[in-house]
Amino acid sequence: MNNNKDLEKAIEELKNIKIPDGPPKELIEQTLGRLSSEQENQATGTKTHRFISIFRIAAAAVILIAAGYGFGQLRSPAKLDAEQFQALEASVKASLEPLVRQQLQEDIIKQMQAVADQRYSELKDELQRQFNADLTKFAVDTLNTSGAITNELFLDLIDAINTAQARERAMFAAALEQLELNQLKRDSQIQDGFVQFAIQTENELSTTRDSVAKLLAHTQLDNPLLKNNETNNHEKEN
Amino acid sequence: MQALNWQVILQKHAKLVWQTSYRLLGERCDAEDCFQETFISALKTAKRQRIRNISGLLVHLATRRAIDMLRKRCSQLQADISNIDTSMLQSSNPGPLQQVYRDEVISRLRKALTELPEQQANAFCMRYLSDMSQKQIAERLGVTANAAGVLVHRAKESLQEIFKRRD
Repeated sequence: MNNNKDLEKAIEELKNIKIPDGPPKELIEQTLGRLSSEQENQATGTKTHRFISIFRIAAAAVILIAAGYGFGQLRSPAKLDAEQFQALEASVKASLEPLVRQQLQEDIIKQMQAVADQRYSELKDELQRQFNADLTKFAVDTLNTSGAITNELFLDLIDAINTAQARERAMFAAALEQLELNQLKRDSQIQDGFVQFAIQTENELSTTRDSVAKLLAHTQLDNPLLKNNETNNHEKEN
Repeated sequence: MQALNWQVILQKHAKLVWQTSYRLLGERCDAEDCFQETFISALKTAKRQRIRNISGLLVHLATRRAIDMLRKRCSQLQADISNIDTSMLQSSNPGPLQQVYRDEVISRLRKALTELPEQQANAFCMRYLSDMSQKQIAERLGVTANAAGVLVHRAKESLQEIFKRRD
């Protein structure tokens, strides 16, 4: 009774044992791979088996015909003529043909199913691979194209910047040249002005000197002090 | 050969096979081997005969394979029973003693299952661990429902005897 309880307890414990989540994804993939290769091996085996079956049936048919012929030869006093033999062959063929046909048909269907399953799996993998490859190619092409367009735009931008800089430099040079010309013109004008001023000043000085001389001349004749001084000076000299 | 989509079958019944394998073997590595072998055996079976109940077949194959593996490591299992990890006694878990007791009980049952004849062990596991009906067991083992019932009953009696002998 106690053993019975122990067993019940053990069953209960084993039934309720904590099982980790699973199976892991890798295990499922690995198992699928093994199943696929096993199916492949089976398909090859089926093909061989089919040929062996056909061969066996053909061999059986030949043996049957030969046995029939032999039996007929032994049992019948008269020889089997060609017509009888053909009739026998036709009847054997008629009896065996549906069997062979059915067997062949079944084998072909089985093989086709196996191959179709395998092809389905392969086709799925292939499509997946092609899809990934196309996607990658499209991404690479898009990147290349966008890269080329970006490069072209950059080149255009660089050209535009260069043109603008050249134009600015030309304008700047022209402005500098104009400034220099203006400076030279101003210098020339100032120089002319100074020359003119000097000439006028010289003329004015000459006029002033003449005027002062005339004034002095008039002043000496009319002044008695100056006259006495002159007389004294003559006497001393004498 | 019956045309079956193994990818679908695998996705649908993977958990059932995994649970059946792990419950009996109690080790991840062995359970993984048992899992793969079960599906390969199922594929071979499908080549030979028409399958009506795939889940029943998978449980049967997983149970059979797991018991085979248990038999192979029988001596190691015996060592497991005698070398119970006593470090668990120092565990902070609420019931380390219960845990040790439970592990011992499970190990005893696993070991006892390896001593049963193959059909009895399979029938017992399918009945008590996988909750299969007598009719389903009979279908899987290729016997009558009554014979399946007898197999289960004898298996239980034998297990009780083994438990008694060890006590």
